[in-house]
Amino acid sequence: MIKYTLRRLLLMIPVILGITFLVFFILLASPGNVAQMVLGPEATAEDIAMKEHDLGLDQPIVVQYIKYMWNALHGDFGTSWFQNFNVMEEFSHRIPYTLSLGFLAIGWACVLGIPIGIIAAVRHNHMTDYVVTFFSLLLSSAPAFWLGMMYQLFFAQKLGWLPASGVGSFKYYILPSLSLGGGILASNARTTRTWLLDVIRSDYVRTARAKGNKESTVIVKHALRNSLLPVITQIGVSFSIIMGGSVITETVYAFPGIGSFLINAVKTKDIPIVMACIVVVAVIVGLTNLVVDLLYAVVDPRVQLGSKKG
Amino acid sequence: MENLLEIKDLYVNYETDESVVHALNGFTLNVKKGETLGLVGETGAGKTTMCLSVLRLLPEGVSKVEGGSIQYDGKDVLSMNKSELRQMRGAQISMIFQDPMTSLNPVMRVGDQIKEVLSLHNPELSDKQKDERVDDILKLVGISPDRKDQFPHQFSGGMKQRVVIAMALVAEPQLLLADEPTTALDVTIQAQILALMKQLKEKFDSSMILITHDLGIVAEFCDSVAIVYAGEVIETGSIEQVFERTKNHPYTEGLFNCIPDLTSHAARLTPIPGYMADPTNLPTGCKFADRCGRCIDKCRQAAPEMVEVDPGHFVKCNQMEKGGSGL
Amino acid sequence: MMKKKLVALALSVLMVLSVFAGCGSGATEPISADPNNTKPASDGASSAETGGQALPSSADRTDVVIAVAQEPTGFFCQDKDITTNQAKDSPVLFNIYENLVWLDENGVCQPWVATEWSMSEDGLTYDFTIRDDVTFSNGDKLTAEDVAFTANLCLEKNPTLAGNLLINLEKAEALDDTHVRFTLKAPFGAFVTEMSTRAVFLINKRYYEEVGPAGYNENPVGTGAYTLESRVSGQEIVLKARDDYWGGKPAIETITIRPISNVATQFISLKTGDIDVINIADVASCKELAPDDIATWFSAPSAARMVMTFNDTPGGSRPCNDKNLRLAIMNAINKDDILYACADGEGYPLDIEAPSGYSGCPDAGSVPVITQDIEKAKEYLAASSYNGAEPIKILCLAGTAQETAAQVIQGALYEIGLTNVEVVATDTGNFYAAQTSGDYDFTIAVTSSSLNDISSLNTQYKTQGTMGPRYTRAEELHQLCLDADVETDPQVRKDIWAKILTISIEEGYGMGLYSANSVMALNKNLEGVTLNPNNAWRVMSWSWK
Repeated sequence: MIKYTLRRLLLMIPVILGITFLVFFILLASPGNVAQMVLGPEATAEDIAMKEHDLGLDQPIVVQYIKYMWNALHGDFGTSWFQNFNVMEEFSHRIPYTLSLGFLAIGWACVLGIPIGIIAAVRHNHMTDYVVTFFSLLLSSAPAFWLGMMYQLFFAQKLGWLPASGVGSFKYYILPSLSLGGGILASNARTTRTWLLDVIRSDYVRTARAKGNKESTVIVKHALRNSLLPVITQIGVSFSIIMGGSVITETVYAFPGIGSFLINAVKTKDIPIVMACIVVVAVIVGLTNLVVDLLYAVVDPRVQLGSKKG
Repeated sequence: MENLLEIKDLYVNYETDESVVHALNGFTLNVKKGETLGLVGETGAGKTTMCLSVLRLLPEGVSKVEGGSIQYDGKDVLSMNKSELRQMRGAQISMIFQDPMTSLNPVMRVGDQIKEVLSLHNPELSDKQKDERVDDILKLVGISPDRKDQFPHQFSGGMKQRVVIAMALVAEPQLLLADEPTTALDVTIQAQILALMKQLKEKFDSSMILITHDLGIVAEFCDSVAIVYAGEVIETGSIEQVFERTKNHPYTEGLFNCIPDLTSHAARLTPIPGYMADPTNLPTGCKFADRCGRCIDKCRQAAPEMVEVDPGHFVKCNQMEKGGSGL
Repeated sequence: MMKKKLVALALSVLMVLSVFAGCGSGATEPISADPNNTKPASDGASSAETGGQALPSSADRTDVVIAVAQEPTGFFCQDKDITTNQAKDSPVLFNIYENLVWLDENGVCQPWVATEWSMSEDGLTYDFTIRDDVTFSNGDKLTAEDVAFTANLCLEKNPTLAGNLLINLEKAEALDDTHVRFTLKAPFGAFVTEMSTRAVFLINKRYYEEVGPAGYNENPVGTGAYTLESRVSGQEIVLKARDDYWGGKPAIETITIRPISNVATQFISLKTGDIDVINIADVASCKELAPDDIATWFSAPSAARMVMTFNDTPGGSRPCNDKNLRLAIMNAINKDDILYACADGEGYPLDIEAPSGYSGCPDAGSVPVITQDIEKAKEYLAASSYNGAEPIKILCLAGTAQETAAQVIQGALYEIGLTNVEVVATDTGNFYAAQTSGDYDFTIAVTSSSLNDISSLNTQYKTQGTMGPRYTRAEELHQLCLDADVETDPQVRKDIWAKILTISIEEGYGMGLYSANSVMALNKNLEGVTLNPNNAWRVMSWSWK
């Protein structure tokens, strides 16, 4: 397993290089002179040329890229072009929010989603199943911003139980993480339900019953472990979705994470910020997927990572 | 000798959205203590359904017991509560399923799967004692106890079936339901497994219902045999009686005729014409009528009764007479 | 089987109905908002309860939470490497810094840090006397040396800003501790007004020399009533009141500025009491506030205006190089329609390109005013050589009020028979690129300026920058601007500008469309809140009821 992990980590490097170069290139190549956008419409030609030189924009793209990545490797992501601060500093303030929001969202999705899926599978073809399927369809079809606003209107404005925006104590995290995790919750429930239904009908579950196990033991100990395997994979995929979806949720709830950070930077072509966000997100997603794959191997003994046999 | 298991007139249906499948239609069967009964029939005759009914493992929601009774050791199985059922399963009645490839939990170690039976039914044993018992039973089935921490996918088909057998026998059950335990295995292994089962059966003094569609196996390993057709037992008796081939149900005759005879010079085999009756649309009267060479009008009007053609040898056919000979 | 189908149908219906459940209570009568109203329309009601949340009694409060759409990030104005933006950074800047003078509602300069001033005969020298009790937040006393330093620093380190807001200034020097002399290269009529802009936010010389511009931006030191206490990116900026402020400690001790970009979230937070003020509030949402809500709103004239500017690049071959077409377009437009479509009526249509409060504006009647005249428009169109083949391109930023205006204009042009009109709504990058390349006929843009004087129109008519005006008479206009800058006689100056604007109208170079009001939504219990055309309101005059 160690060898496999190392190999995967090494493979992440070309992936990250590829992504960052692509983004860098697209940002620079798209229309709109950055120096001009920074200085505003009254800037003279000399001003613009000077600014371009300051920002290093007068060099070929590849050179700029290499310079940038070299600095990044040393932890220096530069200064924002439009706003007057050091990117890394701002970033390090914001990333914990997005990460905690993301993990909390996935937390809800698992803690609520999986049991709901189990209940629906066990009570298959009864009313419970229909109700559960209905609500999970509703949640997964609802767009994130709509869901977010509905929560705000209902829980914050109407009932006054939870705050509508901003950060602070734990209660500020509840609504944003629920609206972010809503879709994932639904798909977890559906996947758990589908796989569990499948597994419940399998022979070894029947064997477990034939041995004299309690039904709950059959479900939890025998059936669930087997049906959770695809759910684990799904969670890995969901994490990438959540990192991206946090943009909308963070905007609706005025949550100071890197989602809103990134989207504003893209609009203004503030490359230092965009690159920093992309690099970090790529690394996080890559690591998460690696962890999920390792977890998969731990849970399912049939899975062999890489090729063990010489 | 007393009957350990008495199934009387059992009717079981599977209800789907489109139609109702009549799986068991007045199934009657008795098994004595220490007896090995062979249960023979085509695919779809209802053999597995019967085993599942005994253990009340039929799929929920789809299946329904419409009538009849199952008595095990004097107790009414159909009215047992969950707790009683759980005590019965695995400890008093054990089942060996047909396909060893899928009968074992793929993510649990085999040792743990066997140990689970002991944890459920022998809680008085200490952990160490349970481990010892697991080792013992593995040795008995011919698997090295070193392998008990391995996973099912690391075993071959034959070994997997041995594990299943070990799992079924570790709690020393009184009745063993073996549902075609060797059908998924090749012939050489088949002989080993069956010999093993016979050996264990004698050691633990269990009764066994051995389901198969191979009459040869029945002849070799069983004390008595029951032939199943379209959800009911149409012939039952001791091996000698049935295999004498003098007073058999036409279906049984047909089965015997299917076995190729190496000494004859037949150009073709003699199959039984037609197919088993559609279980969603069963005919009144004898269910074998369409395929029977000796069918008479009476056969189509009413279902025939069980006739005791010899002491202990029963045949369900209108052509049979009590104590008399067939045609 | 049937049962399953029925259940499925029932659930589908339920699902559809639940979509409508989200629609909240309907809007009720809006609070009155007449353009001259600069006081909050409170009705004397005590703090209300919303839903299940009881709000703290407002009389005890000493803090205020303000929501802004964009987070302020620039806190030092005198260096070109630090970008500041009037709309975005004002909430912080105008509360931690101060100027020599302050503009009242009528655009008249009032003493602030300066007590009195005088101008020399030739208009080249201005002497200011400053108070001697003003201190910086780090304890240092403000002297004339600091004032002179501020102006000189701006000239040196931020020439672009100085070029717009310190027109014609040559140098500043301290005569003694309380007297400052400004020397100009040439006279400039609105010089004193310039002293109220962010170019001359008084800074501490000693501190600047210690920390430099980046350090100053990190921990700004000003003479204002508040200091920048803390800043968490994306989350909040906290300003704290100074005990030693020369004007006395303000009633509001803590200001929290929170960036909330989503309009719906802003208003929900206002209604639940999470925030107290929305700076630059969305008019439509304001009008939906109910009379018994704890929030109310008001508006006041601002310096922001929407203008249309034609592309008449000499030698160009776009449709709008044709003067008659330009005049036809201008006469087809109904400014009221645009005002109502874009700002819901909150504002007023412009007669000239500058807001009415600006000093130096030409007298009424001296510049021709264009109002919608379909007949005239059709005449001009007939006189033009435009055949409708090439689309007329209206360039604007996507997703803004300008795009709405462009669409309204498109409709108006249809009325006079111009059907091949394209609205090109893009992002900032493409917008600038299109302007530079000249691939458009006219732009719709929103501008504002920190200098409440007619000379802020220099950006329109003086040739500067790469996206400078594209007019055939550009040189002539440029010269007129220069003349106006140095004219000391106010009336003559007005006349020169009248000439500039008349040329612009007659040649069809462009015109003002409307001026949008500043709109603020706030908690009913806040008193003393006034709006300022440049978004330069100060919290020190606010208090809780």
